[in-house]
Amino acid sequence: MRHTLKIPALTALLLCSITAAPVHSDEVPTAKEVMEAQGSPPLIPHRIADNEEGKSCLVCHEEGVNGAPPTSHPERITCTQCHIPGEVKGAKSVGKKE
Amino acid sequence: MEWTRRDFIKASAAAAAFAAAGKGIPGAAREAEAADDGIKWGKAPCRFCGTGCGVLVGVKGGKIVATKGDPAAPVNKGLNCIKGYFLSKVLYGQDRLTTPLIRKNGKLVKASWDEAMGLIASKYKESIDKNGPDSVAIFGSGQWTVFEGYAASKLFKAGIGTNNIEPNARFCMASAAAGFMTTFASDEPMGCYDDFELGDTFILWGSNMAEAHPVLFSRLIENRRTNPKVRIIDLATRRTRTTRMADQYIPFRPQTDLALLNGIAHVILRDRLYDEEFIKKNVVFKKGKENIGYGLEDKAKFDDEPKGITFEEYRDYLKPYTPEYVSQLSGVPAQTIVELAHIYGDTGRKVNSLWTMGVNQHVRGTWVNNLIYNVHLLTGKIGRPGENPLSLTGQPSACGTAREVGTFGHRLPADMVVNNPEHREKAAKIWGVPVEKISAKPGPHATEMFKALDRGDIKVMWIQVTNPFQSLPNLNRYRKGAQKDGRFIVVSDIYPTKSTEIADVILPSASWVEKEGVFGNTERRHQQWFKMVEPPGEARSDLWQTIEFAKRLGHGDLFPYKNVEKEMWEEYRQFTIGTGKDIAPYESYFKVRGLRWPVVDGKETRWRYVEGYDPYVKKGEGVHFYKNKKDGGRAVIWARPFEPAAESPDSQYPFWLCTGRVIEHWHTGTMTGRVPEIRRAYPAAVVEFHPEDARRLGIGDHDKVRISSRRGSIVLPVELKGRGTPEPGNVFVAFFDENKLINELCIDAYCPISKEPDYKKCAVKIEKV
Repeated sequence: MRHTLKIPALTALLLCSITAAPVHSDEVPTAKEVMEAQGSPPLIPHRIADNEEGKSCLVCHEEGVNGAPPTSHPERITCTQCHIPGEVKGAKSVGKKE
Repeated sequence: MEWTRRDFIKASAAAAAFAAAGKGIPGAAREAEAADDGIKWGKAPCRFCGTGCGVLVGVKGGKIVATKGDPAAPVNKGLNCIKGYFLSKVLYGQDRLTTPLIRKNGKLVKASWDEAMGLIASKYKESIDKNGPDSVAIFGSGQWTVFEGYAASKLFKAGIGTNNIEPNARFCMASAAAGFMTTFASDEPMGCYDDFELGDTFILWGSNMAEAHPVLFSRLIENRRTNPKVRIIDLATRRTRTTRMADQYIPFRPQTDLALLNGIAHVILRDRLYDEEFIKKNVVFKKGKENIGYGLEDKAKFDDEPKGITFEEYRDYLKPYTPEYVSQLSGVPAQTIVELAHIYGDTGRKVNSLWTMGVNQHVRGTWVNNLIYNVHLLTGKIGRPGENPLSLTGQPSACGTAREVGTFGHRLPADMVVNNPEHREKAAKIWGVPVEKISAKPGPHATEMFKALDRGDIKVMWIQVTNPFQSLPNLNRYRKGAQKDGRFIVVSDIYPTKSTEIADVILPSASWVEKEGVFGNTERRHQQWFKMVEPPGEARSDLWQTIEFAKRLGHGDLFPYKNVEKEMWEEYRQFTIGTGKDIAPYESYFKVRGLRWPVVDGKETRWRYVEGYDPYVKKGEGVHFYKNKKDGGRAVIWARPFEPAAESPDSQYPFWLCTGRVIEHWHTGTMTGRVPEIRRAYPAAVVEFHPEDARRLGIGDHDKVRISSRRGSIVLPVELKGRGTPEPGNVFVAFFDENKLINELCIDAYCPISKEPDYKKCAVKIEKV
């Protein structure tokens, strides 16, 4: 099941906006929520192929298959723009196998 | 402007929707609690590339503890790339330089600012007295803040009396600048990032945007998600992350972009896809010199000789560039060339061309820029919202500082040049010096400046905010040259680098939000920030260093400011008013997330040269290239031929070498290399190969190979399933790794018009070790 967002309408607003318009919200999240939401994107705790594609990340991370944390933003497919491999625990490898 | 936590939370409410990474982020709760403990937030543009993402900087206890993509910033709308997410760590590497160091008997010894500055001033004075002002120089950067670049330019041009000032932007954006000047007679783009959402067709000329401009690339991808019409076409010599997300990949042979663009123009004319009315009103045709060489010899000189031609002569000029002929040269099928021309010419499509170093770092870089504009000028797809050519920049203020302030040997602020008497007159008036003080003789361009240092014509050089002794092409010559007897090198930086290694004096600099500054990004947007933390130890800003140095040379009167940044900005602003490059009063930038010039009556400009957007275009004019006065307010379509690269593969050196970047590291890696997470993700340079070539040579994945050119040789591991896959006959190496100086292999050939070296093409051989 996908992690539900508290302010889904704002997603659409923000993603569609092309101007500098400040974002307004009736519902102000707590500091904890903002930090959770805005905290540096988690590092990838498993191996990936260096030429991995967003589509293959979503195989698991769209819905949360095999215990993978589901992404809140499956529409963003340039995953490695923000997520880079971190420390790898065990020899688990995910994604393309050559 | 400082933000409280409450302000921050209010402003960033929606950003929660963006980067939300779901449950279970280790440490997120702890971090959130920390947020309750009085983190103060301020805004700044990112320290890294020319995109100019807005970030919110969280400060606590005098240190940067967090950075976030700024949701109010129109450039990135809350997003960052991986470098931006780790901004809070780039200033806190363990080996940060904190005191001045002087090399004494080969050893670096701590010194006071007074001693270091005294020594530097005495070396400059001695050389100026003995050998004249042209024996000293400063080499700066597209990472200089506007103030730092302005101070350096004013001191050298109006104080010392030499034009020996160049930025590293000569290695990066000079061809783009020369392209703008030759086609439009004014530097910098007509379009802006709004075109990424308003356009539907994006043609990438040798630009790996997914890695080099990731936030902008994500805007294209987002546009495509919501608009099925969007097409992204990747023309390149290597399959990259960009290729994988593009709708079409068109591989071509290195250097043949010249032929391809002429082939496209040929078909546009042949099939009558051009906008006749637009051409009649807005365009003139010209032809320049050909067989223009590669600048390989010292003191090479080149002046173009433009001649006006007619539309018919231009069409005849393009006759040989049939799709079939261009296909033979480029390896692109003739049919694909025809299709590309029809995409550019399709009146139902809003077409944008995007490029960076593939086009600019090119021995005919100015020509390729001209040829891209040709295609847009022929089809009239220029200036109007959603359809523009856009040259992407690599450094945070390559535009704002290097190009607009004009920190080049030949330039003055706001598109002016030193060899124009009226321009010198205007500059001297604003700077308050006699006009004779500003030399009419352009200083040497960057490569020639380092040649002059090697020859001994330049003896004393100060290097600020850049690392040329890793980033110069044909590096061995220039590293050796700088270490010859009688040379004196000063390097200001925040970490030890391959350049501080050569320095006689090292000065510790303040960086980014350790000082106040303004950067200007790709889309003409100036973004201002205030100082938020103290620099470590005795580190001081480069602006302070330059002004302190000026005082010791007796030029302190050039900097009479009390409120330095404010007064300097208003002085600089005088250069821009009424020119179409107008900037706003300093305070205008304090709260907004930048303003795109020209700013007239408080309003920024999204599209230059267009009625209704650009305040300099009068009612009824439609599009008006008003900066090109000598051609009656028209842009120039240039007849430029295909000419080969300076060095092509042969039997002895059978591969093309292309150098470039990876997403994790920025330029020479001096900042990103100090972030453990980034270093772990991409620790060292590799050489990428096409698997077919590897098989032929009997090379396996991760084998070590020796890669050699006529100029240098290094050993690297092979990567066959890596970040990218070059086309057969090509190899790729990233240049960030200071332990693997790939630029030793690069040729120091350059575009004779822009003087920008070609880091993308030279011949190498590969041997298994």
